[in-house]
Amino acid sequence: MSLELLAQTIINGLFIGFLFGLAGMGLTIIFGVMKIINFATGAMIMLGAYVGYWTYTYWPYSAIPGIIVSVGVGFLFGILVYQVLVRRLIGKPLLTTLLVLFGLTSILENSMLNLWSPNPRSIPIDFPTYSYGLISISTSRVFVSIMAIVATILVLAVFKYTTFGRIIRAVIQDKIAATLMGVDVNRVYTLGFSLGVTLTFLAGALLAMVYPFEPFGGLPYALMAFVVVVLGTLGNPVGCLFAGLIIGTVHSFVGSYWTLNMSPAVAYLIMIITFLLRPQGLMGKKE
Amino acid sequence: MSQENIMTINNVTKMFGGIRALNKVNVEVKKGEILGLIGPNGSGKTTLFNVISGFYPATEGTIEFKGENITNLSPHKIARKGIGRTFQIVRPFGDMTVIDNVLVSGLFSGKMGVKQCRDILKTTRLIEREGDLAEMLNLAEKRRLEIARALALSPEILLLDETMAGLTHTEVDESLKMISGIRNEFGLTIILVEHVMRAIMAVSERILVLSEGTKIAEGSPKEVSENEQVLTAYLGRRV
Repeated sequence: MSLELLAQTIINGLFIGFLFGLAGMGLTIIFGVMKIINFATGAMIMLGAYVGYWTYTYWPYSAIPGIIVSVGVGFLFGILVYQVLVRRLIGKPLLTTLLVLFGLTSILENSMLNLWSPNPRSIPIDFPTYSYGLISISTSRVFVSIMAIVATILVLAVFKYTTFGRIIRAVIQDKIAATLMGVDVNRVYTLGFSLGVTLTFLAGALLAMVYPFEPFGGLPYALMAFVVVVLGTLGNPVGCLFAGLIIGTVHSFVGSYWTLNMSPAVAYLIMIITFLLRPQGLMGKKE
Repeated sequence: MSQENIMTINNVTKMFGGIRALNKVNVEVKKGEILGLIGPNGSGKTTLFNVISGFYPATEGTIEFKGENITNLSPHKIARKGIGRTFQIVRPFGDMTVIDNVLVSGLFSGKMGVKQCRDILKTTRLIEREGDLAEMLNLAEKRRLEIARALALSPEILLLDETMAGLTHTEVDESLKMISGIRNEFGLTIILVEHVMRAIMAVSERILVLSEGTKIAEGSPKEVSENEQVLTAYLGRRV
């Protein structure tokens, strides 16, 4: 058990933690705003990855356009899904949401399979890798981490300093009082849902630069995102980022010192422990 | 103070299943007045507020605001047209600062900037606490924050639902002063529901009495307090 392996494990863990954190943030914003659990997260992550992949395939000069296009498509896709499906799920029993969004997952995954084959793909960007002794740091991972941090800061800044952010926070806390302030809750829901889907797509587009992906590959990420949301306190984006880094590191440790197959099991064990000891999550106040 | 009507409530009835919460209520609200709304528990005061602000659709009847029919518009549209309200139970956005609470309505309605919102905090004596989280405020301050948020919509009518419940004697006096103050400063029309009889008698120019959903009296505080039907409704019989 060398020091190098330990350092490498931590670095890899933090890196994938940013991705878990982003996907979790998408989930937690949607849940916070409209109390809907986006069970289609996994398929949306993969769709985001494909959008990034195709943009890069047609314009293979830089990684940036793929991210921008994926974010844009994610936003529009979010509005579409909200207006067609999710709008009708507000206030309905959880089972209805579960079935409808699993249905959506199925439609998305099978469409991706039909359109783009089951072959795993990845964005073949040539990022250099630097080695320090036995530790290697690929610049692609550094790039992806920076993008994730930038996105998080942007989201937090929007939440804290803009009118739109104040309105979203107001709706999260008290929908009825917000209505009295002249806030059109349906519009806030539309934008809140698209913001969540946008972050999910972004997680996918970033993931595609580092890992191979295929139409049905979203589930493991979505499962981790759910753990991150619980650990980081429901509805709290900052908590999500921290929880993402914790779960990412755990994931990486389990992979290095045990077997990666057990990583979701350990993550879920952490979730159960969270429910038992601190159900309000890391960032939550005691009720 | 002109005698022009700002809002007309025509024959408004509200049914909850078989229960008649409001029964053919007619009210003409004069521009610039302070109108008190009283009645025993369950007489339909808050229901009337909820119908005016669009939370409950009226079963029958219409509500006109400045000559425009606003019956059954959605609540956020009614709020934007200029009818602000507070809640009987305070519901500030607890995790947000005091100033952010006010900015939600102020900036969103596009009618006010940060400066005007801070002016409202001065009027409602909350300016020293603008940076504190709303949940840290005491009850009297939370009630003032409710009023401040409603004011930030720059409304023409303000519906105040029991803003003095649970306040101490001194706080009630301060609150009364503030209510007349904001009416004069912002040129508002105010309708208030209140259980503190001393308060509503002192501040209202006109009083409307509801009992079991029906308007049973209307007039100056003095007229109403001498009305037999009102005394019967409150006390059960003439004393």
